[in-house]
This record gives sequence, structure tokens and C-alpha cells, in this order.
Amino acid sequence: MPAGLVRAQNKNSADHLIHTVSDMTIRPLITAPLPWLTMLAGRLWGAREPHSSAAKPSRWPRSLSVTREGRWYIGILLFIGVAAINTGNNLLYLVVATLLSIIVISGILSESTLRAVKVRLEVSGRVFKGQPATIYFKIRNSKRLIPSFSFIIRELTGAAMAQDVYVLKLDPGTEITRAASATFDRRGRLKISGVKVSTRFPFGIFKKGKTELIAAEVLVYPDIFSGSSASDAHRRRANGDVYGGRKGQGTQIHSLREYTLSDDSRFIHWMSAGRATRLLMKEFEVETEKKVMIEFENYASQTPEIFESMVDAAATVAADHLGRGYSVGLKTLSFETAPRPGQAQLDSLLTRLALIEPVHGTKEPSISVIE
Amino acid sequence: MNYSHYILATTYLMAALGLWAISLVDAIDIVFVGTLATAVALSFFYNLRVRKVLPGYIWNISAIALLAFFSVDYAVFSESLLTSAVRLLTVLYALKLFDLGRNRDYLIAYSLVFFQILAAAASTVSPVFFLILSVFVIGIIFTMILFTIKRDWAESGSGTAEPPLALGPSFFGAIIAISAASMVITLALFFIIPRVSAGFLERRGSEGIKVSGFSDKVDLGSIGPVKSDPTIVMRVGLKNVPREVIYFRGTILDRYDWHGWRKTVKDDQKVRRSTDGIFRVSQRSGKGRFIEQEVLLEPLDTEFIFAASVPVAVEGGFQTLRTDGTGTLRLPSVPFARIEYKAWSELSEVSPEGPVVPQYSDASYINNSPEAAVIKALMAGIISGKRSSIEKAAALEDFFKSDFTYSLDAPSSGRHVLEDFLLRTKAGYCEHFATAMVMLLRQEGIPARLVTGFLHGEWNNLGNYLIVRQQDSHSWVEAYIKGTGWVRFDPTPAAVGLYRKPSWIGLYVDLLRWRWNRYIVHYTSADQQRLALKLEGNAFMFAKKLKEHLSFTNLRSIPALGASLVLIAIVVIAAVMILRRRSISYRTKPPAARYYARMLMLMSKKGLKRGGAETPSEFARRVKDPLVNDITDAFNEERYGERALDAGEMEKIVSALEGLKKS
Repeated sequence: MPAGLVRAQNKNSADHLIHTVSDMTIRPLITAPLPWLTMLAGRLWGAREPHSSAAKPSRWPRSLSVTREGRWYIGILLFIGVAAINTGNNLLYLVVATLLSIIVISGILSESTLRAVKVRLEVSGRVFKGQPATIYFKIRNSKRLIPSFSFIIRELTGAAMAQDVYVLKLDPGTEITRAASATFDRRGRLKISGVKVSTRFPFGIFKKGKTELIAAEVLVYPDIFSGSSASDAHRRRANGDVYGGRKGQGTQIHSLREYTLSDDSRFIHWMSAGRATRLLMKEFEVETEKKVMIEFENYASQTPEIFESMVDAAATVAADHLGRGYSVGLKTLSFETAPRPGQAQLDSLLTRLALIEPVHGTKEPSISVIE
Repeated sequence: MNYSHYILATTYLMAALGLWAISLVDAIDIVFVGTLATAVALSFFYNLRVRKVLPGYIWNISAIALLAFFSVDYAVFSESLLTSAVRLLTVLYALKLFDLGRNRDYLIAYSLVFFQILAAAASTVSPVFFLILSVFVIGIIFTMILFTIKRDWAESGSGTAEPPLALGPSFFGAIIAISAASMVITLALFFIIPRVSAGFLERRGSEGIKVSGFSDKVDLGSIGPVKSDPTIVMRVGLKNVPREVIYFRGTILDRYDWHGWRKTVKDDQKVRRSTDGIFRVSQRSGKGRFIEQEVLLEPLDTEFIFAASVPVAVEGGFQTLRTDGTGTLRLPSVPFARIEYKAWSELSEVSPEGPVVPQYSDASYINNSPEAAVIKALMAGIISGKRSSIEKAAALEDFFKSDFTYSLDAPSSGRHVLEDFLLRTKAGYCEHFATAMVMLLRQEGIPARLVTGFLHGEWNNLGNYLIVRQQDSHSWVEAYIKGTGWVRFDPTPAAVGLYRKPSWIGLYVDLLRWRWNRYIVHYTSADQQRLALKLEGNAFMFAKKLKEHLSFTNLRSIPALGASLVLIAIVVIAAVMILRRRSISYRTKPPAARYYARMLMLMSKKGLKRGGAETPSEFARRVKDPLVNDITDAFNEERYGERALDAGEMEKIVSALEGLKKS
């Protein structure tokens, strides 16, 4: 069940302020029974709230730079142009016109390559600050007739890409997926506003680029690998490669397996029933008595780096203990989460720590682990 | 074929183009071209079989040695920078073909071909140049695209040496289409680029065609050899096919001895140029049809220019124009270049020009001839019964046309060539006839003079112009008739069957050549102004006609009204289709989350549009609607959580959308 719907029913939730539908952005000066008339009146006379601070894309955002070969080309063009002017020789003018026409054709073809190339971003798995993460670009050519040739995707805003993504040819109306490695240098809900798509096609004289707006968000968890307690095992556990707990009679789901007739039908995993062709059975984790509470006093520090290292440490401790089968809870100045074991708890804690903000106070941030 | 094969094939195509281009340069002879062609062919087999790249220093040393050699060539042999440079470029290119290893080597080779074509542009005006340039454009577009793709592929680190891009018929078709578009844009830019000539290092053209009969001294028989020369001297554009035979006036010669004719009457004067830039040569007499001629004169070794007799006015790119009072036109010096000018003439046999000076009555040669008495008796017989001067001249003209034959083999030198022609051979060409008639008229006391020029030409109906060749060189007579003026007489019989009529292919090729020379080689800023004015006029007329067509008066008629409505409907439908394509549902609909796109469409109708750089969460936070939040959360879950919604969740989404629609 989408979390949003649950929260909407909880009127005490501080996460959302529920407004009635009439509290719209456009407030018409006159009311009318017909909604289309209201809308028209609103468009013409209504006071508008400014749109979000997100930059509106301009009509023709293109960057253009001249390559080394292009500089030679332009130099030769100017030289012949001067010769043509000097001599009045029409055949030299014809050669100049030819060179100029190639520049025009280059502009048209490079524009047709970049035009209607849409890029979407998808991130799978957990993303940790400072660690390479695999991201997927879904690149679509929305043109109906013309393919796009030889372009690259680079410079993800908000992250460092290890290597540009190159596309040799993208047929019209098709979408391809390209994986890339990106590293995010800070935690939190990061907005990836766009990528740069550029091409030297067709002649390599100019390099034309555009910023493709992606408007995606990535939740970047704190770094749990650089702490002193990190280890390969913990990294694998944190990535979910090794399931943390043992099977038992607890309440946390440990794993799913195929349902057999001898199993209790109460434990069928109905959520997957619609997608899977067979029924799956829930297996639960063993209840553990090992509990720790991480108390993180998230006061603002003198420098942001100290606070961030504290957050990383808290995340590392949580991952470490959860990986060893502990039930781990988190208590901060802003919120408290009861100790629970398992991957779901790790996700919940990492999410909290990814989004945690420092609180102003007189003390320094600190972490303590209470068993 | 893989990429390497295509690039190699293109390289040799470029080699052939380069050799073809330099063959258009006058100073490059066929032996040089043939030798280099052989070297290119050898390199082809070398590249196919051996494929060994020469060490770089060998090519560098060879290039320096060649540069030194051709510097000597320039200083000592050719004395022409262009010729030496062309030779150097060609030899360098042939050498480079043995050293094709890296991409850079190919680019250097193509640059050398480009400079060869540039050299051809600087020294030729042949229309073949355009064909070479067009093929070069196709080749260079093809290779530049291939090299760009190949380089980008290599830099992407994809592993394989050559990109897996199939070069099929569609690819080549696209290359041809791109090249064609490039040539169309080339021509458009060519006509638009402003014409300026600073002329600091302007190079003079070639020496010019040697023409006969247009100097102050013309030896008898000098016109004869050119009577079989089909070299084009000028092309004269006319609005309509000429109904009458046109005589293009050259010069007047007045004194004859057995060597030939001389011009002793010197009455050179500058022609007045009016404020509109037109040289007014003479007054219109109202006799004869008034015609306009667009003349493209090949580079001749004479300063005379030609117009149909009788010239009235001339307009051209020359600063001064001179005449001698007899209607001849001459420039201050030999132009040594192709020139273009307009002339207006009255097609009349009568020229009112010039005084009757004593030289035009000088019959001393024939009077002093040993056979003067016989000639006098002959003349008496011809003009017997004729009273007036014009009757006598006409009788003489008829006599020559009927009793003599046209022949290019008649002797044209010797002390008594005129007497031999009149009394014995009775065969000759225009010089003989005109000379004889002038002498006989003078002997009779009628002032006469010899006129040299060109007779008509060959009408090219494909382009509405006359092709005037060397073989059209002609001499005729002007006799002074009291009360009338200088009247033209042409005693030469028609030369039937001597010249072969060209085929329509020949006429078409000449038309292309003429158009090329007129609209490309000789395109000027005046032409640009005319073109701009014409386009402006056409646009104005079109707008005016459209306005009239769409006026209320015209729209009363049903067909006009119907056509207008159809036009409006087409415009509206096209606008709606374009706007629909730009609607949110088309732009932002990812395949997997159509419900999110639907939500955006519903919010857009309420005036809330998601910005291009706004994330779904940012949009939801801005809108502050719980239904939007729910749908956004589901969308994010599906998109980033790699989890498809189940049936129950989808039902909730549908009801949320219904809620948004109703609100």
C-alpha cells in the first residue's frame, strides 16, 4: 500500500498538511458554475503564485564549442574568404559558400541528433555517500523518422560520473538503457536536475550540447564503509547480499520460498501473488533478545564535517549491529525509532539518518550505543 | 566492405578529383597529370598489397625536399606561384598516398585535394569545376562523418576497433541527400554573399583569344584562317529570336594597299557617360528595330567591344569607353579577361555616323593598277543604266553575290590578289569581296569604307542567345549615299554547307556554359541588387494578389470562398496537431506510469503545471494536495523502488485520479 495513502488517513501526522481542494494556487476574482469558464477567467485575471524555484528551461538551451579541427576549418574558411574578397573571383566565393554550407548542415544535423532525445534516470539498490553506485539511463529518441547518432551523456548534476555514456545510434521511437557508475558526495534526498547530452556529429567541427532535465531524486545514505567498524561482511550485509538474521518464529520476514500444500496458508505472501505465477510463503526471522539503542544527539557542530562524520558513524554502528542480528533502535533529538532487527529496519534507519538535520544548541553532537 | 575499405575508396576518389581539378589549370600539361596519375595508381596497389606505413621522417624529409625543388621551379621555370604551388601540392598528395596510416594522414591527404581544387578555382572558369566541387562535397561529407563516428567510438573505449554501424543503402542515400542539400545551401549563400573586390593582388586572366581584323592594320588574308575556327568569341543574349541578320560592328578600315588595310582616320573621342552609368554612343534615328543585347565577351586580344550595328548605348563595368565617330567602340586597353556588358542598338543598314573624309574616297590602289582600265570597264558594265549611287552600289553587290563563289581556298596574298580575284579566280571570302567592292565604289567616286566585325552567329533557342564564333568573323562595306548616310552592303555570297550545325546536345552544353559564365563566374553586386529587387517585387505582387483574392468582393464567389475556408481549415488543423504534440501527455508520459501523466494533465487543467526541472516530489510539495501526494509516492515507489503496484494499490490510484477529476 503506498505510504502516502496511509499518511493521508492519519490526520495527526505532521508530515503533510492537508488542504482542501478549494485552496488552489489560482484564485479567480469571479466565480462561475462552469469549471472551464472559471479556468479561463483564472488564466486571464487570476493572481498567480510564483512557480517553484526550479529553473524554467529556456526555449533553446544549447552549448556550442569549436573543436581543434573546427578551428583549422574556420581558419581556412577565413583565409579563402579574404582571398575571394581580394580577387573578386566568384569561384572562390563558391568555395567559401560551400564551406559555409557545411557549417550550416553541421548545425542542422547536430540539432537533429540532440533534439527529442529524452533521458530518464533510474537508480536501483542502495546508494551510499562517496561510494560508486550503478545508475541507469533510459534514453529515448522521441523522433518519428530520424535516428540520433554518436552522442554522449555526461556531467550528471549532483554526482560525479566515472565515465561518459556513449550511444552510437538510437533509432527513432526507441528506448535503450545504459548503465553508468556515479558517486554522490553528500547524503540526503538529492535532486538530479539534469545531464548534459553532447555530440560532435556529424563532422567533428563543433561540439554541441544540451542540458536534458531529468528532475529525479536519489536518496543517498550516509557512508557506512569508511568507519573503523566497517568490514566487507558489513558492506555485503548492508547491500542486502547476505541476509542478516536467522529463520525463526519472529515477526520480521526473513525470506520467501515456494508455498507447499503442507504450509499454513496464513503465511502466504499475497503481495507477490498478483505478479508471480506461483504462491510464495513467508519465512520469519527468529526473535532476538539482543537490542541496542543508538542515541545520537544531533546538535549542530562547529563545522559541518564533524556532524557528517557523526551521521556516518551512527549509520555504521547501526549497520554493524543489525548485521550481527541485533535489534537496533535510534533515538535523536528529533525522533525515536524502536529497536527492530532486519533489513527493513536498516533501510528505515539509514533513511532517517540520510535525512537528519542538525539541531541548534550549545552542545556538540555525540553518539552513544546503549545495549 | 568495412570502414577502412570505404575510407580507402574515398581517398582514391579524391585523388582522381584532385588530378581532374589541376588539369583545368592552364599551365599544367597532360604529361604532368599523366605521370602523377601513374604514381597514384601505383600507390593504390601498394596500399592494397603491402600496407606498410613509411616512417614519419621519410615523409617529412621528402616534403622539405619537394618544397625546395618547387621553389626553384617557381623562380626559374614556371615563374608562376600558382603553377608551382599546384605542382607541389599534387606531388605531395601522390607521396602521401604511400603513407596512409593514421586518421591524421587521411585528413592531410584530403586537405591537399581541397587546395588543389582551390588552385583550380583561382585559375579556371570552366563549368566542370562545379561538377568537381560537387563530387568533392559528397566525398568529404562521407569521410568526415565516418571519421567522427570512428573517433567517438574509439574514445568511448568500447573495445572493438570499428563501430558496429552498418553502412547500407540508406546511409549512402542519406549522404547523397545531405550533399544535395549542401549544394542548394551553397548556391543560396553564393548569391547572397555581398560582392566586394579589394583588388590588391588581383590576378590577370589568360592572354586571350587571338582575333583577326580588329587592329589598326589588318593584313589581307588574316581573317581567312579563322573562318574555320569554332572558338566562341562572345555570346549575345537577346529577348527574342532575331528576325534579321545581325552585323556586330568591330572597326573601320580606310586605306588599302596590296599588303592589306590600315586605319588612318583617327578620330578617337571619349563617350559621354550619363549619371545612370550608361555610355550614350549615338542618337536614336528611329530607323530599324531597337534591341537590347547582353554580351558576354570572351577574353580577346583586342580592346574593341562589339554591338549590333548601329550601337546607341552601352552599359558595363568599364570606367571609360571610346569611339571614333564611326560607331566603333573600344576600351582604353585590352581587358585580358572575360567581360560582360549590355548594349542597345538599332538594327539598321544605315549608319549616320562620321564625316566623309578624303580617305574614304582614296582609290589610288586600283587607279594605279596595271589592269585599272579592264577593271573600270568591268565596273561600267555592272552599273550600266544605274543613275544613283545607291543603285550602283546595289548592282555591284548583286554582281558579286551572283557571279562569284565563296571559297576559303582563294589566294590571299600577292601583289595583285585583288585583280586576280576580280578578273580571274572570281572566288574568295569576305575580305576579297568587301575589298573589291570598296575599291570599285571609290573608283566610281562613291565614298566607301571596309567594316570588320562578326556576322550574326548561331541562335541557341534553349537560352535565347547568339553564339558568335571566330568563324563568324566578317568584312562588309559601308558606302556613303548622299541624303541617306553610310549604308551597309554585304557583297559576300552565303557560305552554304561550310559549317556543321551543332546538335541539340552541343547547344545544351553551351547553354550550361553560358549560364555558368553569366550567373556564376560573372556574378556581380549589380546582379545581387537586381535579384533583391526582383524578389522584393515578386513578394509584393504575391501579397497584392493574395490580398485581392481574399478581399470581400472576391470572397463572394463560392469557389474563392471555398478555397479560403479550406486553407483556413488546413492551418487550424495543423496548429492543433502541433499543439497536441507539445502537450504534457505527449512530452512527459513514461511508459510505465501513465497514471502519473494523467495526474499531471488533470493538474495542468487546473492551472498547476509541473516545471521541467521540478522533481515529482517537489511538485507534490508545492501543490499540497493529499491525492497528488499519494499518486506521487506510488509513482516514486514504482520508478525508484523497482516495484510494480499490485491491483489494490492501482485501485486506490484510480480512485485518487477520480477524486482529482471531480475536485
